[in-house]
Amino acid sequence: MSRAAITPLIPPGLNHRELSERVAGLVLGRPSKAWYLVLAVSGALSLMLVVSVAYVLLRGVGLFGINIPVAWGFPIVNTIWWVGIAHAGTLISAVLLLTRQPWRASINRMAEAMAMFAIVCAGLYPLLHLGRPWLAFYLVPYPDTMDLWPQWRSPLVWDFFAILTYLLYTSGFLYLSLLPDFATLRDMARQRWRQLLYGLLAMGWRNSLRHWRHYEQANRVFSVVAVPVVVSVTGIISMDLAVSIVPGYHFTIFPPYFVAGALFSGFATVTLLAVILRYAYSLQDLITRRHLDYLGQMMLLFALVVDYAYCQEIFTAWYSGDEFYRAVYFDRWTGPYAPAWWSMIFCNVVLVQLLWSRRVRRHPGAMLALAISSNIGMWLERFQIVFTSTHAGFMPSAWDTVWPTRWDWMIFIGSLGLFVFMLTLFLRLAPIISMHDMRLEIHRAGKREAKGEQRNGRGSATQEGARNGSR
Amino acid sequence: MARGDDPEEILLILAGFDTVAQAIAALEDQRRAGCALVDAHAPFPIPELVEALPGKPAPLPPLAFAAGVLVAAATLLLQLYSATWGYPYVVGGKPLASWPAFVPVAFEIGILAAIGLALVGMFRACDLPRLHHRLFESEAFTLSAKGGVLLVFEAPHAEVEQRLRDAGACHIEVVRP
Repeated sequence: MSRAAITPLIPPGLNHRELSERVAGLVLGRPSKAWYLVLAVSGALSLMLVVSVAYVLLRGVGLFGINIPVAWGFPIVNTIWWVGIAHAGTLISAVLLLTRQPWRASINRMAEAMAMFAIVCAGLYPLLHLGRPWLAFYLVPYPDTMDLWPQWRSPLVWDFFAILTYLLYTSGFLYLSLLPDFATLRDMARQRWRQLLYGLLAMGWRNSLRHWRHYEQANRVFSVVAVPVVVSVTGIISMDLAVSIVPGYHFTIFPPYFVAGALFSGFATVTLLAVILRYAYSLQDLITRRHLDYLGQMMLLFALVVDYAYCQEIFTAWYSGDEFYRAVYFDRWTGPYAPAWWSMIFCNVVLVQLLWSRRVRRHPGAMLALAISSNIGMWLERFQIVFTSTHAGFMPSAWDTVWPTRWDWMIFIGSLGLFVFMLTLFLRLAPIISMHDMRLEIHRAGKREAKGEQRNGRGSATQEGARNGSR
Repeated sequence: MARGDDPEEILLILAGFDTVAQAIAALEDQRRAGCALVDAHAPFPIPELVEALPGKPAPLPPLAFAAGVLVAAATLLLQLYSATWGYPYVVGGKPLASWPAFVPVAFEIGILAAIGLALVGMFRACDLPRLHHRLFESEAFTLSAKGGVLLVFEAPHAEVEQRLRDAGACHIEVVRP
């Protein structure tokens, strides 16, 4: 591949002032009609969510149709799905920072925001499926008048702490990332109310290098902690299923399998957002096809791990010789939920193989389609794990074919609406591309360019002109 | 501008540069002349300038790690107490002091403590929130806000100012420290 064909990650000639004006302009300028439309539709769906949740709280979780045998249904499926989506945001912000990957700079803000809002949606479900959500505080270990303490051996209690930690971690990391950009917005805003708002949010950040030093340290702590957090949170949530004795749940592969699945769907969602936002805001030169290429490679990597886990599950079911394990698998392939299984295989095993092709990875339309199909596939995976493992368990008298109710669907679609609603609001509140990360990359690109010129005695065709001035 | 009559008086000199390269070159000039950088203001952490800053930053990473370990240990003790003394009951035939089951919660709370200390520690070390600082009133600051770089030196201003102008500073301001 000749150097001339490699897309630069930073457009040549981009300088700091231009970058600031372009990105801040998306926040400080007027929103488009499309933004209002998306806000209205997602707002309506969020309203539907609020109404449904209120009704479920009033009438009880029986509205979800959860009963023996499938005692858990949609709430756990959607918790796992949403938490999974959040993980790629954390990985992009943190692990790509530690490994100094330059392609992180233009997508990490949207990935972090996506992670934040996905966690909010994920956190909704564990509260709802408690049965008596108004007693959720029983999970908190405080000395109470009933002498009651949480049952520490239960993964559901671990869930509470894991999701709480992840929520606080993600909000802390997002705020830390936003702090210097809020300061930039404060300095660039012309309306008084905006100056006040961003002034408050920026906490008086003055771009002092001494402060930047501490900032980078805090960033490093957050980044180092990211991988343990990601692995432990999804691992703990997968233990909800893995510690039970039900044949389709009781696999030791669940923690790494769920982490890989989480990262797969997470990267798919980041790709989805990247394609939509780069088109909506004309950011094709900042979020390039090369970024989509890298995101596609990450999607493929984690999809292959997930596919390996599928094979391992099937192999273990056969190798164990256990008739119940084998029965679950035959039921998955031929039983009432078989369409879910085979669609999942099609999305997660067959379609993802298209990602081997560089042309597919660099094509925004194809990546959009694959991102959507991957998310659907991962949702179907969680659905079929929960439903097929429990609906035909050890006791044939309890066998039943359970389907989700309209309240399940309304809350699920409502949570999708809430996610989009919060993201749409975020687009107007904060810059969707991290300006200070991009500035560092512009600076580094300029230095690489200068070094390249010194070594070769000439500039490269694609990167010449990347200056770091503010003319 | 508070320029004293005495050219040898030590004052804070704020020098604004349009481009990062100019600022780095000016810093080199001053360093060779023995004048140390007090602070700089730039819209991103320029590695060359960060290295030139005197003093060491607060040791946030080791402190965060220590906080994490301590709080995780405390959480383990809390769980041990509540499971063996406060509210002991046998679940699934597991022993009361079932330490493998205690690990996930202790780990998560330890992580919370570590990141909490990192975040709060960063704000304290930077002395933020501080919504007003006299730097905001200076013209020089707007330069750094718009993408330029502001270097701050503490030195007798006469000798330093000329060197900075030679290095390409587009704006120089002198204030009392």
